[in-house]
Amino acid sequence: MRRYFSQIWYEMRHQPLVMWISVGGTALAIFMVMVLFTVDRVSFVPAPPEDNRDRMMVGFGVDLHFENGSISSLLSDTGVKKLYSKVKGIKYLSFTNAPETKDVGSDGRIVTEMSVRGVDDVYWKMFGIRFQSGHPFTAGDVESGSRVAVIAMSRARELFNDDEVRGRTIYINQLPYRVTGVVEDVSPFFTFAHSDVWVPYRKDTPNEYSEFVGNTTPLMELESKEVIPLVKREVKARYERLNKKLGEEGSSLIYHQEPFTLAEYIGNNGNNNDPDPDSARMGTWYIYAVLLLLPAMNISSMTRSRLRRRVSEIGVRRALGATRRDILGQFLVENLVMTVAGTVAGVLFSLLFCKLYITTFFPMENAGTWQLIKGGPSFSLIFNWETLGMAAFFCLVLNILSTILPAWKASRENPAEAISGKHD
Amino acid sequence: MDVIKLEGVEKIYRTKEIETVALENVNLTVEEGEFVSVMGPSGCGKSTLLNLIGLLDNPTKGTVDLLGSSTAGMKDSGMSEFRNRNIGFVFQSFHLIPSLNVADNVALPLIYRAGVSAAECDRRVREVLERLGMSHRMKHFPSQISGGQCQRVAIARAIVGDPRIILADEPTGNLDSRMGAEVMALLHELNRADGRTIVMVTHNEEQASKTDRVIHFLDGRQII
Ligand SMILES: Nc1ncnc2c1ncn2[C@@H]1O[C@H](COP(=O)(O)OP(=O)(O)OP(=O)(O)O)[C@@H](O)[C@H]1O
Ligand SMILES: [Mg+2]
Repeated sequence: MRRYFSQIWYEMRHQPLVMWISVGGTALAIFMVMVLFTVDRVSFVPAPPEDNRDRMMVGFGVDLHFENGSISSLLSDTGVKKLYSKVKGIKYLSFTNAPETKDVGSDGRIVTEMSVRGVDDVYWKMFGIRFQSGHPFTAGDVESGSRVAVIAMSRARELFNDDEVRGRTIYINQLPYRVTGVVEDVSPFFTFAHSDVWVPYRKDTPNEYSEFVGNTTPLMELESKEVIPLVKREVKARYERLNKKLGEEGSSLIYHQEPFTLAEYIGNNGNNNDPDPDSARMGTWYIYAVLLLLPAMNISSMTRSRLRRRVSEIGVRRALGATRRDILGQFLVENLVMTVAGTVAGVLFSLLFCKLYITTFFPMENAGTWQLIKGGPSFSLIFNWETLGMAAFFCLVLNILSTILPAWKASRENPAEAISGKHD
Repeated sequence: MDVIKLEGVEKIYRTKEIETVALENVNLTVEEGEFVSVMGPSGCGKSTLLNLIGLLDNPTKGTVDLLGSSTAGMKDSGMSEFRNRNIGFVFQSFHLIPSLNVADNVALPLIYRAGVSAAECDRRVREVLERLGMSHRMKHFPSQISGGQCQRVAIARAIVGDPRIILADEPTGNLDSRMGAEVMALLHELNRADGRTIVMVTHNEEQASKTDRVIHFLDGRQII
């Protein structure tokens, strides 16, 4: 065994390119799978404050067709009520406005851009956003359209240089809002729980085209994820009922399988289309497969070229008494060692990436700011040994499979011809 | 006893276009402890003969008996084991494995032999390298020692498994005359002191004249 290692080590030093490509290919594949998985996992796995990701649904919008045209838009709150209110299985129905970037300042006139999300009182029950001080705004505040706000801790400090800002005034697009509470920062990993500032949700003014068109995004938490199909069925029935009436006026609502689960919502990329989770999942599998196949192909061709350079070595070993099985075993072990080395390197890269992802990349890309977001997702949320194990396992199996054929061929070479290097 | 016995041996290399008769009706016996040299012009089939005796290739026709037993029905793994136990090879271009150091190169035949412990392997490698005066170069790689030293290491590797037959294909072909003489002296010692049977291919009349018997080949036929 020691000799295997020293021979591999010797080759690494003397054929660095070939060897590093073989090892690096595996490392890269493991790394890419981990990255993809991490990015995926970060968006879907239930974790505080979005503990309800698996049973959360979004009524994304409305697709309304007339005789002479169509509107695709967010819903009005009338529309939300007609489609989703009192649907069996929905525990909480929250009326929200999609987050917008606005100028936020304090008395001291510091003005920065922050993400401001309009929410109602139910929203605070849906998500486990933790209050450092103060409290959320009430149903009354929402009803009366009070100018009150909840602000994330780090943003409060930015504005006031102070943690205790309850009762103080912030200015959103120059309008004064009274701070009722300060919450722990929510990472932008959380599609619906994240914001810098939360204000009472703004009710729609009636729309000239249709009572369904408005500015509301309804968020729902179901009693359990098992009732998802139930809720979908009921909403579909409501579409049909509404369309019967709308048909008399010559218009109709196009049903796109709303409300969406989180996966459907993210998969749709902000479009109001029929979700297609199957093709999305297939797509992910294709990518995984390609990522794992590439290093296998790479190793297979590297193995072939390594073997070609070592035919006479194979012949000599055979002359000295190596059986075909010895030769096959030698190259399998060599590739095993390289695959393991690649896997270890891939794991290290992945760990490093996860750390960086938590602290740097993601906040940058999502918050549009360079600062670190406190309270980002925990390491265990985005790193997962099982996935790593699976990726490493498949890499190993594929690499071994791709070694077997060239190594087997090499082991069948006629020793006399191999020694003299006479072969094709 | 006949250590090597060839009867009616023929070797034909067939490719799609051409057929090369490398050996034709070769009948040859070599006795225990004999030192035989094989001579002949290039392409007359000397290496082919050694490959057949060394079980590295199969004859097209005829039989090869070694150490009194037939090799005709042997399986590939059986041939491997036979080579490992009974035959030591010395090549013109040494054929040391460049990625293994001297000690690891010499150890190869013992690694492919069942039942040799690591400790015994180390002991025998050290012993044989001491005998050939190469023990101070154990950790060197082949690229770090001279050609003459490489051939010494190759001879050490050929005898570490204590084979009764040594097949040497132009063992001095790549060496200058002084180093060639050293290698020849070594082979004679292995023949005389250990009683090993040696078949050596050479182009050197003088070397051949010092062996027990010279066999001449021409165009695949044995002429003397
Ligand atoms: N693998 C092979 N395929 C086809 N022809 C071969 C093969 N090996 C050898 N030959 C042919 O067989 C004949 C004998 O070759 P061999 O190598 O035995 O000659 P040799 O006597 O060892 O020559 P040299 O003195 O140059 O080493 C030659 O004509 C050679 O071209
Ligand atoms: Mg030859």
